[in-house]
Amino acid sequence: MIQTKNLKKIYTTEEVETSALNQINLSVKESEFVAVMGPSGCGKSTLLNILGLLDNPSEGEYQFLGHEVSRYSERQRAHLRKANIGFVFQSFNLIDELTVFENIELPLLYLKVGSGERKKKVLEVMERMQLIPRKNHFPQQLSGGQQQRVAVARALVARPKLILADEPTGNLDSANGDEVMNLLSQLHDEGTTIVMVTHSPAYAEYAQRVVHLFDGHIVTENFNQKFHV
Amino acid sequence: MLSNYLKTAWRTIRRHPGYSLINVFGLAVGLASCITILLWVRDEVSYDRFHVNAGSIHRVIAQAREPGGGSESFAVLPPSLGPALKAEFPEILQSARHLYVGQQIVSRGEKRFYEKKVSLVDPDFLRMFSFPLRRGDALTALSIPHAVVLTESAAAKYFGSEEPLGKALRLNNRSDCVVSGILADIPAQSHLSFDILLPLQDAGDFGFPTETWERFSYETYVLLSPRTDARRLQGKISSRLHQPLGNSNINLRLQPLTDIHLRSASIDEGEVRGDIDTVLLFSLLAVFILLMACINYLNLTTAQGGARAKEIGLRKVNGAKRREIIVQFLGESVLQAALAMIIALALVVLSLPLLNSLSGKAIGAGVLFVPSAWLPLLGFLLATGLLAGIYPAWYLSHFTPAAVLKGKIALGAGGSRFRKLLVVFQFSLTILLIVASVGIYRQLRFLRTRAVGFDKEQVLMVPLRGDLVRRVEPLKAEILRNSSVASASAASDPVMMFGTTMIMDDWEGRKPGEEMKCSMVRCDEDFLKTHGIEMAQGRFFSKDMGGNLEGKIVISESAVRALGLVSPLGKRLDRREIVGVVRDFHARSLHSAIGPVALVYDPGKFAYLFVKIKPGNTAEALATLAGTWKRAAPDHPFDFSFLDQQIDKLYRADRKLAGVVNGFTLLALLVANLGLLGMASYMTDRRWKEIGIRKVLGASMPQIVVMLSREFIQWVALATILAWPAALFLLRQWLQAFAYRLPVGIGIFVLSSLLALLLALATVSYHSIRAARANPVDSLRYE
Repeated sequence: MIQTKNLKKIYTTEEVETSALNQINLSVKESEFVAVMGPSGCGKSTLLNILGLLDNPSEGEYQFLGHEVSRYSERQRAHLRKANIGFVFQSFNLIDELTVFENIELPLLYLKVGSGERKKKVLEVMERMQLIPRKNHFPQQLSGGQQQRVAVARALVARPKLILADEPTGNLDSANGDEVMNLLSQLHDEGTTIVMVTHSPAYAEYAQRVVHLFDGHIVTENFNQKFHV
Repeated sequence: MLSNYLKTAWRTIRRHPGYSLINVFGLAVGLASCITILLWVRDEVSYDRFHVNAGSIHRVIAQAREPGGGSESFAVLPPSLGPALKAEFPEILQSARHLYVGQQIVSRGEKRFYEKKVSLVDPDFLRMFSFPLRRGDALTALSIPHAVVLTESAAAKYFGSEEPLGKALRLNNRSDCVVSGILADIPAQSHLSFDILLPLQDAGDFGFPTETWERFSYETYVLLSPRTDARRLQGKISSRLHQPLGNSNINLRLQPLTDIHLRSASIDEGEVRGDIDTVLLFSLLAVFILLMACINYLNLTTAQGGARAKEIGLRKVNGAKRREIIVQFLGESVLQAALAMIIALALVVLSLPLLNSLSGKAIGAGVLFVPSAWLPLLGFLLATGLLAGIYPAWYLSHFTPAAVLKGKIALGAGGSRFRKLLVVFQFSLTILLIVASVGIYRQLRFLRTRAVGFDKEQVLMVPLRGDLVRRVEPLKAEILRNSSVASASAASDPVMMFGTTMIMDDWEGRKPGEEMKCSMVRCDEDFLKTHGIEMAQGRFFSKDMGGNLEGKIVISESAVRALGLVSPLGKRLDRREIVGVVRDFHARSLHSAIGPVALVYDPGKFAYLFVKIKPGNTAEALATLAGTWKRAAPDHPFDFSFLDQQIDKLYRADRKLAGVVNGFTLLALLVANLGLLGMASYMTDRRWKEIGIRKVLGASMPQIVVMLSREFIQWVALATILAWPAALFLLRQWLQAFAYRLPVGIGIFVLSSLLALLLALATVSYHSIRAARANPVDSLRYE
């Protein structure tokens, strides 16, 4: 599903050039669950943004679902993105002015799904996330864990092939964090491909494979033993 | 501390150059418009105030009640009135009559000019008013016959650097008069305007009697003794004309000198004066435009508050009191107002020529840079700074440090409804002004193109001066020999400018008490042909008609209807025989409705020669005509104008208004859109994160642009609802002055709102497109 070759990302500010990613060669197969770990500033989020088609690499190649996308325009990326990728962020990134239902509905609106089907799909995913009672609440009225459940629901509702999660548990206490991880794990069991950035070794255990990043390089790749029994 | 504030203010300006530019430039445009308009207003209200006695001088005016109710006011009175008032009422210290005698030929040796501004006045005139006499004696200058007082410019024209006092000037190629005084040039802010003053006792030379109660031709001014109650005096003199005139429908009133320029709208005097309503309206608009600029400042600064919340919180944590924060922010707004004032003064200097050409004034930029202007300008600056800054200062200073530092202040959420209302208000004003501009433009175009019942194209209008009136027949014959001339006709008035109103009360079949008011022209037999007016029945004056042409009259169809005649031909009307009926044409400007017209044959009263030129080579025709004229009337310069241009001048005041309203509209649009630009940039900044999220979730660029523009469309819609009724009211009010007006359709309202909407969208789109194109990662990275 994902295949990168010598991926490079350089940020240029007034005088300094910072290399955020360097020679990244990574492949993710369909239905795989990959965790990306590393210290702050090692390029984890940058990698996730590029994998999620939110940003273009400075150099190198990126094959997504068989398309060479590294030189795609924002319009082309947006097109591919909305049909195939769901995002979960550390800071939830819910829209404050919209209710829980409306936030979850958003991707379907942009996919031009008819209103009847939209409602069905949103309610389905809300039920699964146990969000039905919160349907008409606004994000500020929810706890952090509830907000992240909404964000996961939103990422799921369009049934994307790939879910990218950027420290989904970073702003949550351990109980809520466990709950979110269980959700992701379930999704993985159902066949969704997941790439997750995390600081937590414990949550990295949920993944089949852990990629360690340091200063923009992949330093190690470990396969999780429990999946190889 | 002050340097810390200044440093912070300066760095804030530099850190947000876009916002700062909008703030300062917006205030500058507001200040500049306000200053420009106030300069104009100052000029308008300063009329006649330079006279030392300004407060005690009054003009006597007459108010005549008309039979059908209503009344008519006029400022010209019989010559006997002034001396009588002074003799009979001790409150009146001096009286001075002023007689305007129109254009005269003045010559000295080879130098010969038409002088347009020649007036005859009583000797007291120069004592009562304070026109500064540079040479000569104010007491005696005009007390001897055949004296003349000149303004400095007029004197220079005839005498150059020679001493003019005691030298002679020749008047109308006839009589000599001796220069007895030199006046400084008359200031522009004087309702009386003249280049040459002659003693009133010479009035007989111009055909005006100096003692009669019958002829109304003199303006009469009186100087009241100190502490005289003008109102009580008016009561006493009110009926002074009843006894000598033998009728009681004319009453006298006293009009303060300083009211004449702005409050003479109801007085028929053929002069274009100012209008107090226009002055008030424009002052109001000036204030509104400045207010709009302040609102924009307030809006943007408050909205931006979130960006400064942390600074405010930290200052408070470190010991700042709320008062100190308020002082800091007020200081910033005053600083920006000061920057704006510098730009504004430059804008005013640049725009003065435009103002002068629109208003016909000669206001110099110098008045802004004299010490006496500094205090008002400083006051203006402070007022603007405080007005714009007080709300943001109050609002921003109330942030509590704990909330701010925890990041719990919603960015600029407070007072957002208030701010939206202010934006809506601006757009209402803008839409209203657009409607007014378009409405006025359409009406003026309508006036130009409306059929008036005659052909005004290609008609030259040449005034007949001096003895030319008596020699008009041979002159006409000479001109008609010209192959480029189609026809020529002499008459007393140009069409659409008939000056005489006749009241007819004697015709066959008249019911008792019936009378007909009609416009009257004295003309020769070629009048119809030259003006392309059509006959309806009977015939026009003709030499082969037989009998005395002076005893015949031609009337218009409206006159026939007004008289109630079925077959008018051969009937008698005021001792004349009706020989023909012409199709209706406009005898007055389109401000008044088409009305009855009478044409009589009266060669003694002709004042103009109208020459219809064949289409094609106008320039060549003019050259030949000038040659012909020189041979036929060597003593009189060939002084002509085109009839259609003269007619256009009837709407000069309306066009002036149109020009000024257009100017205001542009200014308001500029200020409102600057404000919108600021709001749009702030709103996109505030929704930056939301835009990012939406894009991550698949929103396309057009979808984002639409989302961001929707709110602005709602504002314009709301503004439309507020603006339309007001615009309709004002436009109807203005159109009242015209007898013929285009109906006010929904079209111009829709057009105006659409225009405002388009401009708003164009303004907003800069930011929304920038936001929509941005990489979503940028907005989410630093969460």
